[in-house]
Amino acid sequence: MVEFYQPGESWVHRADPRVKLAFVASSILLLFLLQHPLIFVSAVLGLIGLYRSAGLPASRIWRVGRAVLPVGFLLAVLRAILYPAGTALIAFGPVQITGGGLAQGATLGLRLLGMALIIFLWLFTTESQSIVRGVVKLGVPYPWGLAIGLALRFIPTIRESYDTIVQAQRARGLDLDRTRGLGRVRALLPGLIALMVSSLRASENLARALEARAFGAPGVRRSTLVDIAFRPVDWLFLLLIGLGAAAILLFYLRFGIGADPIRLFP
Amino acid sequence: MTSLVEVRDLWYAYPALPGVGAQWVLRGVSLQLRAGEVVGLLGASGAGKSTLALALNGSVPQSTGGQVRGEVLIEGLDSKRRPVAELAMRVGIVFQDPEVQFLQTTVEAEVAFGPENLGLPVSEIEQRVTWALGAVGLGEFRSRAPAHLSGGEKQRVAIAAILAMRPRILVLDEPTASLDPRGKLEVLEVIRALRPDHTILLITQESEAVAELADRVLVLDHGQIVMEGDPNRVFGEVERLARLGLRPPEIRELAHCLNRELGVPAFDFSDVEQAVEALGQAAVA
Amino acid sequence: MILAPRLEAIDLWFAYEAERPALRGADLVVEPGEFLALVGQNGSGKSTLAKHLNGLLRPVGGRVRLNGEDISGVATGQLARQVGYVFQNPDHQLFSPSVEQELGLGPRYFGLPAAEVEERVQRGLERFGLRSIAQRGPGTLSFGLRRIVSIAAVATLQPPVFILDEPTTGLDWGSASHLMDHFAELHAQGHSVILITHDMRLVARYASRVVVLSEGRVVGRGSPQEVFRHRELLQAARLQPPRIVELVERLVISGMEIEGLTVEAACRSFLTRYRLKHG
Repeated sequence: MVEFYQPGESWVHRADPRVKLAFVASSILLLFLLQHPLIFVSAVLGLIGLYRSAGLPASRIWRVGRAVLPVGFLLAVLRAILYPAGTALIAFGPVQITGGGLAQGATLGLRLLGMALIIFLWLFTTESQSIVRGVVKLGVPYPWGLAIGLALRFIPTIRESYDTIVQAQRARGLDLDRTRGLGRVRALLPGLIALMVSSLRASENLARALEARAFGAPGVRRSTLVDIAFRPVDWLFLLLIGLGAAAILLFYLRFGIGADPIRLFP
Repeated sequence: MTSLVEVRDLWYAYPALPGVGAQWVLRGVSLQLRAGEVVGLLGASGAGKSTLALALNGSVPQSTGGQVRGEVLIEGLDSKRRPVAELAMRVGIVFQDPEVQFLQTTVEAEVAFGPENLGLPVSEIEQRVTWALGAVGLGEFRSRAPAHLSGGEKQRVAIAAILAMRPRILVLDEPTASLDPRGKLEVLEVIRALRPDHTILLITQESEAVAELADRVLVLDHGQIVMEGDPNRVFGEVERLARLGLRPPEIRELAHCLNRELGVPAFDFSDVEQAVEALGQAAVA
Repeated sequence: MILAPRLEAIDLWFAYEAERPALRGADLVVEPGEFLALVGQNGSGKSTLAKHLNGLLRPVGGRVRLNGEDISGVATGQLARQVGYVFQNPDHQLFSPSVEQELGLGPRYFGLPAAEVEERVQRGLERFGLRSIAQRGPGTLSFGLRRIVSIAAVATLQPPVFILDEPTTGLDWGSASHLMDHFAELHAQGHSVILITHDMRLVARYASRVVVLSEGRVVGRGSPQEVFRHRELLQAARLQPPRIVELVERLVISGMEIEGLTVEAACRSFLTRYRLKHG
C-alpha cells in the first residue's frame, strides 16, 4: 500500500498541524496572486529544499512531479498558444508563440506544480489523525474532521482497488493498448462501476466498524488521548509565516513586484 | 449461571433489493451466552453468521434497516432500542478483515479511538491502551502504522481496539479467515488468553480451533440453529456436518473414516494424543 | 486434451514502492499440466509473482517466458488467452449487470463470435450451478456466490493455465471442495493450475508440487510430502502442515508404517496395515 504519510522526526513533521495548515493556506493564496515565472521557479526550489529538510527522499518529490508535470506542461503549452501576448518569437501560420504567452504558460504550469508540492508536503509529513486533530481544534466538528481523515486513509486503498479492477479486466482479455480516446473511456466504464460497488460495500463495513467502536455515542463529549498544543517554536513558525506572507503581499500591493508575468520589477 | 446474551426467536430480513424479494436471513434463532463461556458458531457461507453477530450490538437492525422479529437482550438491555454505541461497550465485535476496520494511522490512535468515543478521561484511555496492547502482545507496537504490520499483527491490533472498550462479551467474526497459518496461530493464542475474563462467541470455519477452544458449539444453517452441544458430540457427527458444508477436525474425520470402513465404531479419539495412543494399541493388537 | 504452455519466470525483481521490493529475484517454472501450489505468509510476494505470469505486472529485472518465448512484448489482453487469473476479492472482478453477461464478458473481449460466446456462457452457467441466478446482478449475491461467479467468468475464457488467488477464502468447506474438485477435473484434462493459498489441507489434497515464497524469493520447492517434512522451511515461511500430517508423523516415529497427507489417504494406509495384522 502506498500511503501519503512518511513517518519521520524532522522539524516539519513535528510542527503543529495548524501551523502547517497556515503555511499551506497562505502559500497557495500567494501562488494565485503572483504572476512572474521566476517567482514560481524559486518557490519550487524552496519547496524542494523543504522536502529535503523534512527528510523526504527524492523519489517522493519525483512522484509528485511525475503526477503533475504532464498536466502542467499541457496547460503551459495551451496557454502559450491560445493567449499570445506581445511580439511573436515563432509563428506557424495563425499559431504564434510569444514571449508573454510563454511566460504566462510557464506561470500556469509552475503554479500547478507548486500547489501540488505544497499540499503533498503537508500530507507526506502529517499523519491523518494529526490533520484531523488540527482541523477539529480550529473548530471543525469532529465527525467532519474524521471524514477528512478517513478520506485520506482510504484514498490509497481505493486507488489500489482501482488498479486491481483494471488488472482484472485486462486479465479477462480487455486490450487497453488497442483502445484510444472515447473507446478507452467506454472500456474502463465497467471497472469504474465495479469500483463504486466495491467502495459502497467497503463503506458499509466501515460504518459497522465505527459503530462497534461506539462512534457517535449520544450525550458523550469525546475525549482525545493525544492532544496538540503550540510549542514556543510553533509560535515562531507562525510568526515567520505571517511576516513572510505579509512582506510578499506588501511588495506585491505597494510596488507591484511579481504582479506581471513578464517584468518582475515594474 | 446468568445469561449475558439472550436471543429469543430472532427473525431478520435485510431490506429487499430491487428484483429480489425480502428473504429471511435469520429464521427463529434462540441462544444464550452464559458468563465466562466460549461458544463456537459454525455455519456454511450465507448461513447468517455475520448477521447474527451484528444483531448482538444492535447494528442489525438499527443501522441496516429491514424487518425484525423476536428479541435480543444484552445484559438485560433490548438491542433494538438501546443505542449501538451503548451496546458496543458491552459487546465488542471483531470483523474478518482487519484492513477495513482500521480508522487511524498509528496503532496507539487505533486502540484509543473507542475509549475516546466513550469520552473517558485521558489517564483512563492511556491505561486502557497500554493494557489492551499488552493483552494481545503488541506492547511495543504503539507508534507503528497498522498498514505495515503482518496479517496476524493487524488482527491483534483490531482485537486490542475492541478490548480497550472493556466489553464483557467478545464476538469474533471469522477473525482468522484471511490470515496465513502463523497469523491464525497468533490470533488463536490471543483468544485463548482472553478466555478467563470474557464471554466469547467465536464465529469461524476452522473447526480445529473451535474443537480446542469452545465449551459449546452451535451450528447455523439457513438462518436456523440446527446443531448444538459440546464440541466432542457435535464434531462426532461427521456426515451431518459434511452435509451442512462444514468440515470437522481432521482427527475426527480419520476416526470416522476408520469406523466406516471397518463397519464397527472401533475408534473414538478427538486429538492427536488420543489418536496416537488408540492407533498404536490397535496396530499391536 | 488441452496442451498447456510451459511458464518460466527467471530472476524476477519487482517493487510497488522503490524502498520495499516485493520480488527479489524469484524463479519459478510451471510445467505443462501441473497443479502447483504457491504458498507463503501474507506479503511474501505470491500474488505479485503470479501476476507476472500473464503480464499484469512487468518485472523491473528478470524475464518471463511462455513456451520459451519472452512475453515482454506481448499484450496482457493476448496473454489472457493462455493464462486466466482469478483475483482474491470477487468485488474487484464483477463488471456486468447480470451473471449471464458477466460470464460472457471475457469471451466478448476476445472477439469470439456471438454463437460461441453464448455456448460458453450456457456451459458455464450449467457447470457452476448458476442457471437459477443467471439474470441477477452479481452485486446483489452473497459473498460465496459472488466468488463462484468470479471464477466461472474466468473459466469461460477456457485458458490452458488457471491462476487461482486464494479462491476459497470466505467459502465454507463444502463450497470450497466442490470448487477445487472442479479444478482437479480441469487439471485432469491437461490444464495447468496455480493455486495461491494458506490452506494446507487444500495443498495436501490437490497440489502435485509446492513452491514456498518468503520475502520475494523462492525458499523451497518440492512435493507436498517433502515440503511438509521440511521443518526449517516451514518455520521460515511461517507455515503449518495439516493436523493429519502431524499425526502421521507421530505414528511413524512410534514405529508404525503409515503414510498419507489427507484423511482419506491416512485412513486407507492404516486399514491396509490393520487388516494385515488381523489376517
